[in-house]
Amino acid sequence: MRGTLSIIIFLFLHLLLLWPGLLSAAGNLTQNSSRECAICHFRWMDQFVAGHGTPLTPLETKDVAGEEMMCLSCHDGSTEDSRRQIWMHDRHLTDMVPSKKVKIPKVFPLSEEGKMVCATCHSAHSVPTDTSIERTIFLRVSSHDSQMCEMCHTGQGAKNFQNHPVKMGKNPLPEEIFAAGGVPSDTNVNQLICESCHTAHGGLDKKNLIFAVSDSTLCSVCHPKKVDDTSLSVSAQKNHPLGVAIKDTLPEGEKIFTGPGKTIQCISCHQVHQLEIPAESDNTATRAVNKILRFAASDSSLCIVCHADKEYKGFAAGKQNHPLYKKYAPKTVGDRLLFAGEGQSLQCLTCHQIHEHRPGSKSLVAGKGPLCAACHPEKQQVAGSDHDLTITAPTIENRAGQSVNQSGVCGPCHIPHKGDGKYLWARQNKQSGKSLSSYCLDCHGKDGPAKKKMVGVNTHPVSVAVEGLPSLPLFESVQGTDSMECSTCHDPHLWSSTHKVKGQGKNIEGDATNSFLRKSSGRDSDLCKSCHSAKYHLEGTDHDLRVTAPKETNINNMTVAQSGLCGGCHVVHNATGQFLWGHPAGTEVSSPSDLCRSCHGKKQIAAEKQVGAYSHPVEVAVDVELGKTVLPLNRKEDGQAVIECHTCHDPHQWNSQIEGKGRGINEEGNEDSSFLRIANREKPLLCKQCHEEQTYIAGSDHDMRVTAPTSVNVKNQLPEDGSVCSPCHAIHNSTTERALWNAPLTQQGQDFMEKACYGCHQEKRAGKEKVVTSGSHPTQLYFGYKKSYKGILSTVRIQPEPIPLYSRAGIRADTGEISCPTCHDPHIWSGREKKTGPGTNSEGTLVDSFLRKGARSELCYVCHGKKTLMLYRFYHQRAEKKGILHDHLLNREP
Amino acid sequence: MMVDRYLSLLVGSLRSSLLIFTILGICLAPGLLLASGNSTGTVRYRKVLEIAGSMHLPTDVALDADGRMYVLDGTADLVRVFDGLGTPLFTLGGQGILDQPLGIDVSDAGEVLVADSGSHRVAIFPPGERVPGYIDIPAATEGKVADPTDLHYGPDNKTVITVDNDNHRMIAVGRRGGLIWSHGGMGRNPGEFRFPFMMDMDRAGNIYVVEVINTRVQVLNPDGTFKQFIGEWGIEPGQFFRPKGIAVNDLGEVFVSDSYLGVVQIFDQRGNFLGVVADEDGKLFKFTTPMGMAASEDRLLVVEMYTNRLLVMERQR
Repeated sequence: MRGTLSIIIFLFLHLLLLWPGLLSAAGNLTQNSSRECAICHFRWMDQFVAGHGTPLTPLETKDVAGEEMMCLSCHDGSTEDSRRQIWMHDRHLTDMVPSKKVKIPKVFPLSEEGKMVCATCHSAHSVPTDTSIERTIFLRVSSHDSQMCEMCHTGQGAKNFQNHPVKMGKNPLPEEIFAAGGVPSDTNVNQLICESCHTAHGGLDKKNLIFAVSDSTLCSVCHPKKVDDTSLSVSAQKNHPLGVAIKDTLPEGEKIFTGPGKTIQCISCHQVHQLEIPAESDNTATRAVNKILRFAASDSSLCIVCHADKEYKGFAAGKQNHPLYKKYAPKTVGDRLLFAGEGQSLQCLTCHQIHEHRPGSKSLVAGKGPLCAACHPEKQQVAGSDHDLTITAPTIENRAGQSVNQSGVCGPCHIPHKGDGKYLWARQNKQSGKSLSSYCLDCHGKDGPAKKKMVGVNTHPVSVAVEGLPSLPLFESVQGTDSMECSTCHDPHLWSSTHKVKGQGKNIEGDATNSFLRKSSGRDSDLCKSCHSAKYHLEGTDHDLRVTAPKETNINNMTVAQSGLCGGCHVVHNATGQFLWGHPAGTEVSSPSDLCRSCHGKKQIAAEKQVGAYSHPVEVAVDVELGKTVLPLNRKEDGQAVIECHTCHDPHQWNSQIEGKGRGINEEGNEDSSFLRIANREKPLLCKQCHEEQTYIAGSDHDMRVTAPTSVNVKNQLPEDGSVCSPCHAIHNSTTERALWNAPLTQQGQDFMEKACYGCHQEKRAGKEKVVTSGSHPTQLYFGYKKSYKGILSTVRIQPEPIPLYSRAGIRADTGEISCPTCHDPHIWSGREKKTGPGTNSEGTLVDSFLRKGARSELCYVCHGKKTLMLYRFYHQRAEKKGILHDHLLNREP
Repeated sequence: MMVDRYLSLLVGSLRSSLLIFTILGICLAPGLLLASGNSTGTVRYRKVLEIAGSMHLPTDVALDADGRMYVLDGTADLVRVFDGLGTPLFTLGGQGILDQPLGIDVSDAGEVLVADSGSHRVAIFPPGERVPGYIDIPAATEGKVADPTDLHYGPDNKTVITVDNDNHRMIAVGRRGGLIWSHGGMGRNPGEFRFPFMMDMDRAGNIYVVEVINTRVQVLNPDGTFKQFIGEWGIEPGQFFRPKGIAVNDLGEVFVSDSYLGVVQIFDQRGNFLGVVADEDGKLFKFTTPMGMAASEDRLLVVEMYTNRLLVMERQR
C-alpha cells in the first residue's frame, strides 16, 4: 500500500514538476502570449527583462520590433518573400532622422532615436483598412488615394505648392503604370496619386519610383509626346533633346540634374515636387510655363543655365545673340500668340517651343520666316529681291552651316544666336567688328557672293562720323559715335522705297530709284539731298545738266534725267576719281580742276565757258599763309595747299548771295554769280582772300569806278560791270599771261609793266591826266657812276620788302630793272598807310600818288641824293625838264 | 488509529517518494538541463573562404560530390556554381527559368534541385544541363498555391520531398509529379507546422524541417510522420529565435542557423545540443543573417543573406 502510494505520489510529483519541462524540451507548444509578442518585441525576452543577455546574444535594451533587421527576419522568404519588393530595390528610407521637409504625425512613431523605422508606417497590430489587404495590411492608417503619403509629405501633394498635379485627371493612366507597380486611385482610376509613380517598396531609385526617372522613362510613360526616341537624330526630334551629354562649359557651381553620363533628362528642367520658383504670377502665360520647372522659364533663367552662350548680354563686337528681356508687344504667328514674359518681355519661349515642335525647326514655335516676320514685318520685303539669296546666291551657307533653304529668307544674313555683332550677322565676316558696312562689303567684296556689285575704290565714304542727319539713319560705330554706313542710304530689306512690296522674285538690275535705296536718288535726288542739301542750290543753274546738257550721259551711260540731279557729275560707287566723279573725263584726271575741264574744255559740253590760254593759275601750291583763307584748297598728300578751280568756284551754288536753286535757264554770269564762292563785284572779297593788299585799290585814283567810270577794258566792259579788279585784270581768258592784264597795252615803255601803265597813262586814255612824259629810268649809269645800279639797289630794302625790279616781261626779279612799279604800288594810294582810297579823284603828293613807302627818301636817294627831286621832275615832268637840266648844269639846287 | 496509520503511511510514502525523486532528479538533471539548452559548449571553426560580390540576398547553398558549391541567388533567379576555391564556374537558371527560388539541393547523382517558390514548383537540372525539368507542387486543399521553400530527394530518390511554407506542410511528390504524401497544417502540435522553411535529410532518410515561427526543428520519419523535435523557443544555447537553415552531415550532426541571433548551433540526431559554432579562439562566431547551409564532416557552408556572401568554415579539431 505504502509502496503503491509512494509510487502514486512520485508520479504526481513527477508530472507536476517535470512534465512541463519535458514537454518544453520536446518542442511541443501551447499558445503563449508573451512568446508571440517577443517574436518581434525582442526586448521582452525574459533574460532581457531580467537585465542580462545570454551566451548567444547580448542584452537588448531598446525596442527593435519595427527595425529593418527584425522585419527581414521574417520577410526573407521564411514567412513572406519580400526580398525583391523591399530589399532588392530602393525603398522608403529608414534608419534615418526625417528631414525638415516632412512632418511626421504622431500616429507614425519614430524609433527611440527619432529615426524612421519600418514600424513608423507599419504595425503588426494594425487592422486592414481597406478591402485590398495587399495595400493596407500592417499600415498604421488607411492610405486611401495615397493619403498616408501626404500626411508626412505635406508639400509634395498639396495643390498650393508647385508640384506635379495629383488627384486629377480625366484620361486613363497608361497600363504600364499599374504593370510596374503603380497603384490605382481608389476614387477615380484615371486620377494620379502619389503611388501612381512612387512605391514605398521596390522602387528603382532613391525616390522610390516605379520607373527610372534618371533616363526619363517614368515621364515618358504618361507624356510620350514630350519625349522623343533618343535614337533619332536631334533634327528629327520633336522635343528638347534628351540623352545628350550636358556641356562642360556650364558655369562653375551650377547644379544640373542629369541622367547617366551627365545627359539631359526631363529632371534636368523639371522638378516634380516643391519648386522654389514663385508659383504665383499675374501673368497666366507665366504661370503656365513655369509649372514644375526648376527655374522659371518665363524669364528664361531655366534656359540660360545650360544655354548661357545664347543669352543676350548687350551688343558688342564678336558673337552676339538676339535680344532678350526687352519689352515687346506680344505678336501672333497665325493663330498663335507668342509668349511674353513678365512685363511683356521677350524671352526664350517667345521663339522657342520646348516640346512638340516641328522636327528640325530648332524648336521654334513657327517657321523661321513667319517667326521673324512677327516682330520684323518690314524686313520681310526682302523676299524676292536681290537680297533674297534663294534667288541670287542659293548655294551659299551661313556660318552655322545652314543652306539658304534651311535658314530661310533671313537666315543667310542673320542668325539669332552667335551672330556677328549687333545685327547678328550670319556670314563669315572677315572684317568683323570694324563697322556695320563691313557686313555689306563682306558680300559685295571681291570674294563675296555679290562681287558683281562691288563699290569700287572711289566710292561714297562710309563708317565716318556724322552729326545731325534727320532723314536718314545713322549707326553706332565701334567708337560709339553716330556713323554713316551703307545702311544709311540703303535699306537692305527693301528693294524700292517707292514700292514697298516684295521683290520681283528674280535677279534684276537696279537703278537710282530702287537698288535698296532708302530714297530715290533719281529725278529729284532726294537721297543725296538728305545729307548734301547745300549742294542742291545747283538745281536750275548752269550746272544743272537738265538745263544746260540734258542729253549728256555719265559714266554709267545714264542721262541726268535717269541718274538724278547729282548723277550728271557724280556716281556714288565705282566713280572715276575724287569727288566721286561720274562724268566722262576724256583725259586722265590728275587734279580736281581736271574734272572741271572735263566739261569746260574743247568740244565738251561747257566748251563755251573755257578759261582760255591765260587764266588764273590753278593746280599750284600757294603760300601757307594763304591757307588761312576761307576758300577751299586742295590739300595734297605732301601737305601742299593747292589752288584749284573749286577754290574760287562752288560748282553747286550759282550766286553765293542767293540761297536756293537757279532760275532754270542758261544764263551769263558776273562776278557776283558764276558759281563764285564769294560775291566779288561790289567789293573784291573773293580776290581779297588771296590778294588783300591789292584790294586797297578800291576808292583810289586807280579805282576806275571813281576816276574813269566810262572807260572800258579790252573786253569792252565798263568798270561797273565787274569788280574793282576787272578793269585791269581778267581771271579767265586774259590777253596776257603777265598780270592777267585786261586793260589796253601800249608799245611805249621798255618793259611789260611800263607798257601796262602807259596803256592808261596816255592821252585819250583813262589816265590821260597823269601822263608820264619820260618814264623810263635809264638802264645805264649817268653822271660818272662807275657801276650798275642794280647791285646798289639790290642791297636796299624798303621795309618790309625789297625794292621790286622787273624783267622786260614784267616779272618781278632781283636781276630786273627799274620800272613803274619799282616806285609805285598801283594798288595802294599811300605807301604810308595800307587802306582803300577816299573814293574821290585826288591829286597826289610826294608821299602818296601810289608811291611805295620810302620810295622818295630811300630808294632814289640812294643814288641821287639831294638831286632826287630835281631828277624826278626832269624825267617825269616834261615842262620842267629843260629848266631842271639847266639848273643841273649850273650845279644849282632845283 | 486508522488515521494515524494512513498518515504514517502517507508520510512514509512521501519520504520514499522524495527520496526517489531526489535520487532521480540528481540523475536526470544534466539531461534535462541539456534538453533545455543551458549548455554553453562551442565547436570551433575557421573561416577559410568568403565568396561575395555577385549575389543579392542569397538564401541557400548545396555541395555536390565533387566539392562544388551551388549558391542560390534567388533574386536573380540564378544558381551560381563555384569550385571549392570559390572560383565561379557557371550559372543555372535565369529569368524565365526560375522565379525567386529559395532552397536548393544537389543529389548524389549531381542533379540540381531547386525549390522555385515564385513558380510554385520544383526545378530539377539534370547533371550538365542548363534546362531544368519541372515538377508542379499541388496546391493545398484550401486552394492556396504551394510555396516550396526547400527540398530534398526522398531516400529512394523516387520522390521529391518539399517544404510548402505558406501551407505549413511537408509534401512528397513523384519525380514525374503527383502527390505521394502530405503532412502538416498550421499548428503547434507534433506533425503541425508554422512556417516550415528549410529542410535536410540524414542518411537514414529522416527529414529535418526548420519551423520559423514555432522556432524548432521537427524531425520526420521518411514517410513524413512526426518523429521528434529539436530545440525550442528562446535565446539560450540550444534554443532558437529565428531558425532558418539546417544541414545534417554524414556524422549525423544537425546544424541549425538563427538569422536574427546570428549563430549556428549544432545538435545530435536525438536533439541534444552539442554546441554553437565559434571561431578558432572559441569565441562565439557571429554571422549576419545566416540562412541555408551545407555541411560535411569538416566543412560548413553558411549563406549570409544580408551581406550577400557565402562563408566556408573549416572545423578545428
